[in-house]
Amino acid sequence: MDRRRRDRDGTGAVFATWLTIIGAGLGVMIIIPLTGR
Amino acid sequence: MRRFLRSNGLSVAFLAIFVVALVGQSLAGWMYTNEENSLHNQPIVGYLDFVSSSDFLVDVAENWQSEFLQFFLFILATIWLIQRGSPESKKPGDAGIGTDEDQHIGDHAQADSPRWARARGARLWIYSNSLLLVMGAIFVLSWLAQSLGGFVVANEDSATHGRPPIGWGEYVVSADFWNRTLQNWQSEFLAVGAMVVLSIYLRQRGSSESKPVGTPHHTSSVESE
Repeated sequence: MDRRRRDRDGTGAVFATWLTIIGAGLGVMIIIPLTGR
Repeated sequence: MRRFLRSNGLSVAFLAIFVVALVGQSLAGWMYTNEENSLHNQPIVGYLDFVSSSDFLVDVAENWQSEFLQFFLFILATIWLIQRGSPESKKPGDAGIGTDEDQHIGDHAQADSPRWARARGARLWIYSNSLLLVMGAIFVLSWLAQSLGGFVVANEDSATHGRPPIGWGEYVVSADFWNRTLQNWQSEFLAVGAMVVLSIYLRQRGSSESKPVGTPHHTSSVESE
C-alpha cells in the first residue's frame, strides 16, 4: 500500500517534519562554528 | 486541513510557538549584541550575520542539549524508578523493561504492530530502544554544537582582550562551557522532578499529563484519556 495513503491522519508527515527541522538545526549549529564564524 | 489539525494540533501548536520563540530570541539577541558593541565602540552587526554566527547558535545549542538530556534521562529513569502516586511513573512493582507479552513483541506481536516490532534480533532491539537512541543522539550532537559554538565565541572574546586562543579540548573543561551546561541542566532536572511530584496531588482536568480529577493520590500511572 502506498505510504501516503496509509498516513491519512498526517502523523507520518508531522514526524518527518520535526525530525527534519531538528536535523537541519543540528547541522547548522555544528557546521557554522567549524567554519570559524 | 481540519482533519489534519484535529489529529496533529499538539505538534503543530508547539512547532509554531517554537518558531516564534526562536525568531524572538534571534531578534533580542541581535539587539543585545549591538547594544554591547556600541558600548565597546565595536561595529554594528547585521541581522543575517548575527543569526549565522556562533554567538547566536551557541545560545540555541546550549538550550537544545539540556532539553534532550532531560528527556533522555527521564525516559531512561522511568524504566526502573517508581514514584508512587505520579501519573508520570509506572505502578509500584512494574519496574523493568516489561515482558514480551506486555510489549506486544515476538510471539505476542499483533497484526497491526509496527513492522520492526514484529521483527527479531537487531531490528527489534533497535526499535525497542529507538526513543532513547534518538533522544540521546540529539543530546550528544547538540552538546557538541554548544561546545563548538562556545569555543569560537570564547576565542573571539580572548582576541578582543589580547589573550591567546585556547584549543577545543581546553574549552570543554573550561568554566564557561560548564557554566553554560550546568545552568541549563539544573532547571531541566528541577522541572522534571517538579512535574513528577506535583502531579501526585494536583490535577488538571482534561490534560493527558494529569490523573483524572477524582483519582486517588496513591494511584500511579494513570493519566486522563
